[in-house]
Amino acid sequence: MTVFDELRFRNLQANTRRHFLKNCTMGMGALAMGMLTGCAKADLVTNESVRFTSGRTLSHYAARAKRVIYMHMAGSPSQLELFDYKPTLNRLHDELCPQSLLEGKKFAFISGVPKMLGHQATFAQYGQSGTWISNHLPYFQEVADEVCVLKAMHTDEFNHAPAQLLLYSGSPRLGRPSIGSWVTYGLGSENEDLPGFVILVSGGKTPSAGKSVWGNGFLPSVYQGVQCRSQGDPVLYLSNPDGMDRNLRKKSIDAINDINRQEYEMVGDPEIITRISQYEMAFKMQMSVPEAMDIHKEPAYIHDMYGTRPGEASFANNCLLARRMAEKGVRFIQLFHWGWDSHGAGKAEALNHGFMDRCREVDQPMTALIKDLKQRGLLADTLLIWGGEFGRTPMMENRGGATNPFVGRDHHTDAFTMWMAGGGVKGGMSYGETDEIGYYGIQDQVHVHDLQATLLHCLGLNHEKLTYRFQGRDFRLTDVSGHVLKEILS
Amino acid sequence: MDLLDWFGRFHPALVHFPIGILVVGVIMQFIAYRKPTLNLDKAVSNLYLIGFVAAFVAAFAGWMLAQEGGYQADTIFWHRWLGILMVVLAFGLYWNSRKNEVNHKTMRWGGIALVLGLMYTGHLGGEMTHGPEYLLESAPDFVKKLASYEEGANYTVLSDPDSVRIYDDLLRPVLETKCWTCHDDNLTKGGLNMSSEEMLLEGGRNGSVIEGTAEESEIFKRVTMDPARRKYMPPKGTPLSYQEVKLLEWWIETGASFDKRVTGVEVPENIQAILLARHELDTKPKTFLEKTKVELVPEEVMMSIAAEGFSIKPIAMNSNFVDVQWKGIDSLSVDKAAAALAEASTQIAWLDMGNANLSDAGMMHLSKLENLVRLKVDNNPVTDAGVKHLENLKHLESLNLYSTKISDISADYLTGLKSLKKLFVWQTDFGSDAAEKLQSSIPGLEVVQGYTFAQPAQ
Repeated sequence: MTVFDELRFRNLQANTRRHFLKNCTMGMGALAMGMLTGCAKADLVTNESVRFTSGRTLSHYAARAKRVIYMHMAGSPSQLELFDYKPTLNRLHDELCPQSLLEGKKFAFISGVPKMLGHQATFAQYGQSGTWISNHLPYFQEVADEVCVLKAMHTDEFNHAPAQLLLYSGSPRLGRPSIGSWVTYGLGSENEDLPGFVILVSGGKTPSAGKSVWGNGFLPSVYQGVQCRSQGDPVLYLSNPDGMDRNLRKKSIDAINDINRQEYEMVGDPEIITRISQYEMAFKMQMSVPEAMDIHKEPAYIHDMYGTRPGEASFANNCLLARRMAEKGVRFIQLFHWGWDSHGAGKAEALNHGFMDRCREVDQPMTALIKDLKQRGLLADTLLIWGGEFGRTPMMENRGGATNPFVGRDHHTDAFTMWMAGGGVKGGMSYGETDEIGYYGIQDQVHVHDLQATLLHCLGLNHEKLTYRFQGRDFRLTDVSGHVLKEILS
Repeated sequence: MDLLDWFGRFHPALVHFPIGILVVGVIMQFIAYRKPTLNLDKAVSNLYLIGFVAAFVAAFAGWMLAQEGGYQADTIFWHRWLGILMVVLAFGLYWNSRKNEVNHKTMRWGGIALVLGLMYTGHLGGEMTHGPEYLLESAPDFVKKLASYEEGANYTVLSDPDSVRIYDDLLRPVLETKCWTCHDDNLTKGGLNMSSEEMLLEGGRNGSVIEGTAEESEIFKRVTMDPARRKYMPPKGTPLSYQEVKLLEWWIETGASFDKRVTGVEVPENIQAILLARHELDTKPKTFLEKTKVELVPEEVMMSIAAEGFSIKPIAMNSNFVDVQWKGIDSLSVDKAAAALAEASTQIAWLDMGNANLSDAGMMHLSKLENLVRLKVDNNPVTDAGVKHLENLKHLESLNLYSTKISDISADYLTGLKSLKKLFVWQTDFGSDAAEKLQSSIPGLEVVQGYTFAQPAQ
């Protein structure tokens, strides 16, 4: 008998009937617990998939908006150059930042004692509401009375990726479903030929947090966002390969779906249902998407209005596409524009260079989008949201304690500006206020969770009731926070 | 008298000494039973004597302090008489301890009663100086739960505006905590008793305190004047908050009625915000769809409408109104299909038939949809004759007619639609004059005629 055999033998001797019973009871308990808490319980999920395909509503109350167009300025535009006018900040320009503002604070790049930076813009009031807008947005000034400006936004994260995740999934870590997924999960799609959740990216880069900002997380994957491109094939690999016509494609998809259906009846995995509906959706999209994405047929005055040039991957084209999708009943249209991270470390990201280019790129199309939706009667039931993932500091960035070659501001979590318009939100309103240098919100602060709650509320969803059970607990977009901003609802 | 008032203010300073002495006395008394050899009897007796004298002085000061008023009536009542009882009890114990034949049983129970009494009386005193929530505020959670104390629950959550009375539910709780301490049955300062409705209206020694408007009313003047002035109310304690002042003002302005309900009066926007913040009470006027109840659309009607090429679904979980959209591909049959909508004529609230090739013949069927709130018939060959079919849709709030064949004549058919808030007429012959005419007969109507592109002035 070797030493190992002996060890095994001893071990077997030590494992008595009592051990068996003891382990058994605990094990059975764990199994029962798992069933009670609903882990890996397939039928719940299946019902959801079925619900999606049948298109039933889950609105908790009558919706103010039927769809959302969310314009995200990745990198985060400076609120102090666009909306938040602080004369005191101009007076303090070039003075050293007082220690009291720096104590206990974490910045992405600022170190030591930075200087205050006055507005790199001029401001005036516009519209009957007297909304403050800077000279960088000359077009936008015309629609001042249509938008509700949220001036005291704040977030918890000071780096792009986690801040974007927090904004879109309610958590700074990966793995939660994005807002668009929650919304399509809750309301389904209004158009059976187009995805309910569409992403349009411009500016050359996807957001720092990657595709997770339109991911479905633990929701069934039918709810994930579909990225459409305004240049080249609208959706990658959507067109048929050479030598395959539409009839043949239809037949092969039918055959695959038949097999999948048999498989589903056998194992009951809800992801198979998802796969079947995705095949069917993809087939329909081969017809519907090129049609929806083709802006050539738009009349010339519309192109003038938006400043679009067909064939480009521009924000203007995406705004026009967003309107077309809104008309076709797409539920959640997410626009990403990139390059707003105005640190001042290089020319492209300087407040006095790249930032102004970004403003020019978005100003005309986003204004045109508001006007065009309005004249078509769509603004009343489309909710528009515009903003970045956080704000920028009233101090000039001094990367590593040295002066940057260009003028810029660092990331700032405590105060930034976003605007909303249409779909049940009051127009011509400024909500919230920051202190005299725009460092902290001092009145009517809005956390990103409050924004999420309000967005869902406008769509007729109660953010506390829109839940999904995963790993034994009910998850929701706003997790345990979020207040609906009733004051801004019309 | 002023000197005595001043002496009264020493009550908090004087009161702790006798408490300490008397508690030590009781402890020593119990030690004396256990260890008779220590010969503590004399000391115990002297402690009770000192404690009694100090307690008497403290109680006297307390009496003087209470004269000033401004304390919760029932708390001061119990604190006052329990305090005096403690003085008497201390004297009793002293008297008993001096006897030759000490009655140990009386002494023992008297001692226990004294300690417990002191604790409770002291607690009442603390409650008056620090507020009733002082102890629980920072208590561990399980204690809070035991005492069923809720964080920040200094207001009540009222959910249904129909049952909320302006005075009883909104204002009276404020007056009760901030005014009644000096103006109730027990202490009627200035001759004003606010604890009963008749007495409040009657006013004080100088006449009525409530007039037609808030600014003329003495009660409103007193709570809003410069707090440094002698006449400012309340003279001590927490002043009325902005919200409370606004509620008082609103109550007076609405006629200082004791039975009006929130739903019976028009709630101004600032009061709406206050009610929402203080009581989570949503007093926004309910929309037509929220107020109106209709029968559920029968399943077979749903099916038959869907079969004609519409999607049909409830506008929300708790509503029987439906949202109908044209999904049909066969645009030639749309006018006929519209006839099917009559089966759900009361329930259709939102109808989207944009870009459906709908003509005036189809519009005829829409005239039966009496509860229609939103209608989209844009991008259709609809003319003024089609719009005429809409003239009785009294609840229509939004009407989208852009890119149709209508003209100025339509304005005449729409003048009766008093609920209309938005009218979309871009890309039609509906001109600015017609828009102005229509706006003059329907207040609050916005006519969207579209934009022309213009380069902004730099």
